[in-house]
Amino acid sequence: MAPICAHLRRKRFVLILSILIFLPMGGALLVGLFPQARVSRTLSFLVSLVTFVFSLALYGGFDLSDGGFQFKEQFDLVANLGIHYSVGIDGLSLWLILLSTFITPLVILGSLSAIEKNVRGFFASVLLMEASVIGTLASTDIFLFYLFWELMLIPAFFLIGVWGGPNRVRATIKFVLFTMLGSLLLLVALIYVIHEVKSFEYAKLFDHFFPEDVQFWCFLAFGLAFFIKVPLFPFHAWLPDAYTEAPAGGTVLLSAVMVKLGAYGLLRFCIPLFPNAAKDFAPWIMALAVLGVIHGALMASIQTDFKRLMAYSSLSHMGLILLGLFTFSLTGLQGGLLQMISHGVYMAGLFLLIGMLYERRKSNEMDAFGGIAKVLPVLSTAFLWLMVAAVGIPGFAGFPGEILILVSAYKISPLLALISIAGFVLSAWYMFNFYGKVFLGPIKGQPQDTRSSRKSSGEKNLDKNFEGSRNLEDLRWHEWLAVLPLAAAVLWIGLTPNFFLRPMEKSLQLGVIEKLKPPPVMTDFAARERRNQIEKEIEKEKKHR
Amino acid sequence: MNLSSLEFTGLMPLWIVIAGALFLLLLEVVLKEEGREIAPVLTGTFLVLSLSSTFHLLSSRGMPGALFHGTVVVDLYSLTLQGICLLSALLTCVFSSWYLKQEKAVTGEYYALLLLAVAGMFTLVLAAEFLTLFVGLELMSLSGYVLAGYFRVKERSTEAALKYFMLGVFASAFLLYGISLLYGASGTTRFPELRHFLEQGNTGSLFVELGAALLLVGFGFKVALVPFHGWAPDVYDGAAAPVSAFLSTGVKAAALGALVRLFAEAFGLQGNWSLGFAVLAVLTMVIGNFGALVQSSVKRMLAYSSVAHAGYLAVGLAAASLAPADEVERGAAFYLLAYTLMTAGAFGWVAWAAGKGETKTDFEDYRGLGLKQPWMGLMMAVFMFSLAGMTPTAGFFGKFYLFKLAVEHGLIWLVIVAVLNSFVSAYYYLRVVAFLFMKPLEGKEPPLITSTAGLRAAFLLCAAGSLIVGFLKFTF
Repeated sequence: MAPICAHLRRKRFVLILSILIFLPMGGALLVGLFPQARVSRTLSFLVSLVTFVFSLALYGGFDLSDGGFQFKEQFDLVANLGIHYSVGIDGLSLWLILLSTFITPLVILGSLSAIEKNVRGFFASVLLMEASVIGTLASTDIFLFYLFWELMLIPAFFLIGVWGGPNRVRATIKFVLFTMLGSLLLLVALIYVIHEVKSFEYAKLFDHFFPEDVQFWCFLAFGLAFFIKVPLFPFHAWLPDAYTEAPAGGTVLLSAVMVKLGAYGLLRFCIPLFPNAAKDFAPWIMALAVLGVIHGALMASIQTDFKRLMAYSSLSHMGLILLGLFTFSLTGLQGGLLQMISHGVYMAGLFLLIGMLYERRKSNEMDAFGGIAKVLPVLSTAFLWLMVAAVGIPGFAGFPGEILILVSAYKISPLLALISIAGFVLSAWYMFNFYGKVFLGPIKGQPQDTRSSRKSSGEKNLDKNFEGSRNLEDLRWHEWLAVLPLAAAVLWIGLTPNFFLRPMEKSLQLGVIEKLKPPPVMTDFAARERRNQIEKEIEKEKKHR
Repeated sequence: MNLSSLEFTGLMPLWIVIAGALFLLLLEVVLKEEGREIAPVLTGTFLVLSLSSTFHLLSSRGMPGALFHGTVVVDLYSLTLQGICLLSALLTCVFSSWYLKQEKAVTGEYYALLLLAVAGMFTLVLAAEFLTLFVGLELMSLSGYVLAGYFRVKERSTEAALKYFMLGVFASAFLLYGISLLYGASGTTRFPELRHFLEQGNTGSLFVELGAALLLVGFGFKVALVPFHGWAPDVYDGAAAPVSAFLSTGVKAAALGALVRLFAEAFGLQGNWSLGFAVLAVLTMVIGNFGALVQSSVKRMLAYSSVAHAGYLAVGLAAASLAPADEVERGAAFYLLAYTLMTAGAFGWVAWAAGKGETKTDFEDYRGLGLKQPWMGLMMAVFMFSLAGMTPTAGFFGKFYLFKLAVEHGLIWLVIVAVLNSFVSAYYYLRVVAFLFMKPLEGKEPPLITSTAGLRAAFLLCAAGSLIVGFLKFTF
């Protein structure tokens, strides 16, 4: 392994990002061509597995000492406007790309038996989703970023709407419209920004200093798009419906991968491009983030539908991530980014397991379950394992990120940190409560149990799809394969967080924190000089073209 | 008067189309009923010939420029618009041959009229002078009226034609009056001379302002800008779907194209038309979109959506008095290309899915259709995504160019209104996709709708075009 890595580092296998983007995209097309369900299942799994293997090269060839973009590729896309296809990754995007290539094959494995209708469409959508997520993360041209960012909506729209639950159409349209509203305002701000800078390249945008009022409005417009995606507290109305109605695989992709891109967008664009506005807004955003933590936790604790419970809990955890990012300290940013990865991993596992339960019992109602642990010991153990990570028990994935975030938040505002700790205590409470109700206790659905519950007429409807939990099948081979890597990853992140933190450090330092330091005072003269220089450069480029 | 050979080669696409129209008219007399299948094939051949001639002119190094003593101008913009008109006519030709066969309608002069309309569009987009412009507009419109009422046994079709005709001639009168006022003020009908006249500081004159306003009203009717749009939904809904495809893309694109040229080149930076267009744009987008929002028929929704899209283009026009003419023309031409691909595709798709007699045009009629026939459903989904302006479709790129133009010239508020409208429109476009793929027919299977290879190819052309056209390298 070591010589391969060294080789990669030296040669810089430059096409790797394009392969990661276009392999799943081509795979989606290919899957669409074959109507046989078996073919599309196998094919999509193979494509996503190969993509994962290729993505490992990203880590192998990643240069830890370099804070800038690596694996860069660039060529003209729309030449007369100066739009490039230009991709590259740094410490901010590395783990998120690996996360999505890691999750996608598991989603496909987990959905092998759950998806029975329109099979090829589902797997094609999953692959298209993967491609657009990787594209979004790898773009270093802001226009390209927007292309992929919006493209993500289309597979998500189909995933929720075609294979979802009974209210799927409403949920998916709500989801798409919410996201679109943000993206469209982002588009306006984006056009304005590229008009100001006269370039689509991220590096140019990054070096540009925007005046105060521009920063204010652009931060709001960019921010809205990303806050809706994350979602920050008052913009989260789409989330519970979308998560609940989507099929398990779709929910995993949404919660584990897609919402992370909102936080990534904040980290990549909002904070470094508009640092002054970001600093002005930070207290408000932190307050809203903590409000989100509490709101999510409270809402989760009163749900009877446990998929919805999980949705709210995911919302609550995302609030903590935002809290970390907006502390603007290295520990907070690292904690936020690490928490994004671990949240992705354990949420993926939890939603997959919930999907497996649903597949067996066709219900998500807590009251319909009980004593599952006795019937499905493997599933229940896996669930407990991942849940422990979710509530932040030391040694598991949730802990290191959480502690980093809380420590750095405590330095800025002890009150906010304490409130979010309270949110987490609450989260532990409702999670274990839920576990107790569903997995422990007497097995519901046993003859004597159903007889007693029939007395109350309200539960009669419940009884119809209530053949009892006794003859359920425990995890099948493909479900085993889907859950096992997640369970392992949860432990890995929990035990060696430094392994994950190290690659982020340099990029966070250079890409985010440097920009937040008060800028050197720029005199009018210097500003004019700079402008002249930029104009000259532009002219030169024009001539060159 | 001496004409060089360039005058003829420069207008070759136009000659081909006119020759085709006359040939088909004669052929109609000679051919027997069973031989008439050849008409669409011939039409298609003429259109393709004309298209290749247009491409030949586009790829030749020097554009012919002004011809016939400056009455027409063959440049990048007019050739691009010619290409768009030809594309629309070709698609219409394919849809029509399928449609006429299904409805068992007489072919008659249908295709000759189609070609005549194309000849009118060419004249319109080539015109660099008011009278040529008017002749082109009338040739195009008159053929359009007949096409709209071609299925005369159908009440809706007749009503559509009558409405279209009445308001069309009304608009022509406005236009002529405006032209006469401008001629009276400036003493010229040619755009460059008019521009020269205006540059000397004559913009404030009452004749000029009134003339320009009347021109705007006239064109407003032709391209259905609110408040002159009243006829559009009824006509696009009432006419046969392939004809609607033609009227709402080719005819509209030509008129919009000419409008852009007129205001970007003749009036140009002189005088402030920006606010007027901005108001028209806002009205058109809002009324068009909210009109589309409440429809239960997909065809009528598309009719309103076509109104709304003229509004997005008007956003670009609002920048026309601030931006250089070639930038505006480039943005407009690209938008019209994208618009033609997706709207013609969508109307054609409705023509296919509506069945004999166009009975099934409601949202409800398309329940589960995409699940039964996934490829056909996917085509329509692509058109809808493109109309909604989602990436990476042509509809997005078109909007991006226009909005970019407007933002660069300080019209941010207008762009914000436009994107909010785009947001509203996403709802009803996505609804179509939701009906196709997400709301299966309970209990029964939707019937299989047959199609022909030509029809599938046309849809594929539109869908693939909508997906990749934004990434192509354009010469202009």
